[in-house]
Amino acid sequence: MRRILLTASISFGLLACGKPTVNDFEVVCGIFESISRQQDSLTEETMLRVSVKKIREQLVEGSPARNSWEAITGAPTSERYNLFKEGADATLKRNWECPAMKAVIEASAHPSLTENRSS
Amino acid sequence: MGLDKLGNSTASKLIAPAVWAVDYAVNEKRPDELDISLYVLGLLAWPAAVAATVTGLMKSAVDDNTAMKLRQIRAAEGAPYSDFIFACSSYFLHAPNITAQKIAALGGTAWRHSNGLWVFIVDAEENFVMDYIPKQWEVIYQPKYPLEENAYGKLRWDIKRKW
Repeated sequence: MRRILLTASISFGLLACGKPTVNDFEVVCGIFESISRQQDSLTEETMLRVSVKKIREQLVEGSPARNSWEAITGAPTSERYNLFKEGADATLKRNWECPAMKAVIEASAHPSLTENRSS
Repeated sequence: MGLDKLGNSTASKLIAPAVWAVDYAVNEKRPDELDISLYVLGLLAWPAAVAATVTGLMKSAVDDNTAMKLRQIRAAEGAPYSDFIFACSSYFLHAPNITAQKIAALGGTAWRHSNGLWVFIVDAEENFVMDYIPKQWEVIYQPKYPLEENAYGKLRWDIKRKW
């Protein structure tokens, strides 16, 4: 009887246990956190180049977060964070925030202001 | 699946024990451990089958709702455009607002109607239409003139909001 229960529970366990994953939007947030730790201010062009490069390295082509950020590179700078957040909210079905991403995008829009503050 | 099918499914769970009972009565043969393990596993999988059915029913309800909203939008835009308008959810498996972003970056027009559905328009050759102005919209994502592709292969695009 013990063997019956053991076989059934192992099989059920294998079926039920999925690999826990960090969602792709958190990966993108992590990338922006590392960018903000490494550099005080970036130009818009550098911010886009570095972020797209890292996102392409870490996320697969069909990832919604990667597709969203790649599309958003064509959008106005002032809208980028909100657009990405709206996509994350809709995908994850909850409120999503990434203060580091917001700060890096805003700083890249006005790099001279950040430089003045830090000097 | 109707209730009647659900009843059959439940009844089917009793077949194996019934066969074992007959086998024992006639041949005095008991089911082996593998038989019982497989039977128990089948019982454990039953809730998963119910969950899958409920998910299927919910998906049908969502699809019906999308179809109804799309009919409203097509009616609002009218001929000759109505047949060329589609829901963003039918184009890509992402959240519709992400699909709308993709479409704008690829040179198309996508918009959210006041009923909440994100849609886009194509021409007779199924190419995106970049300069369509919908009659009823809340938000439009559309390429920006002059068209300009960035280093990542995406067009510059703009957002119009009604608020």
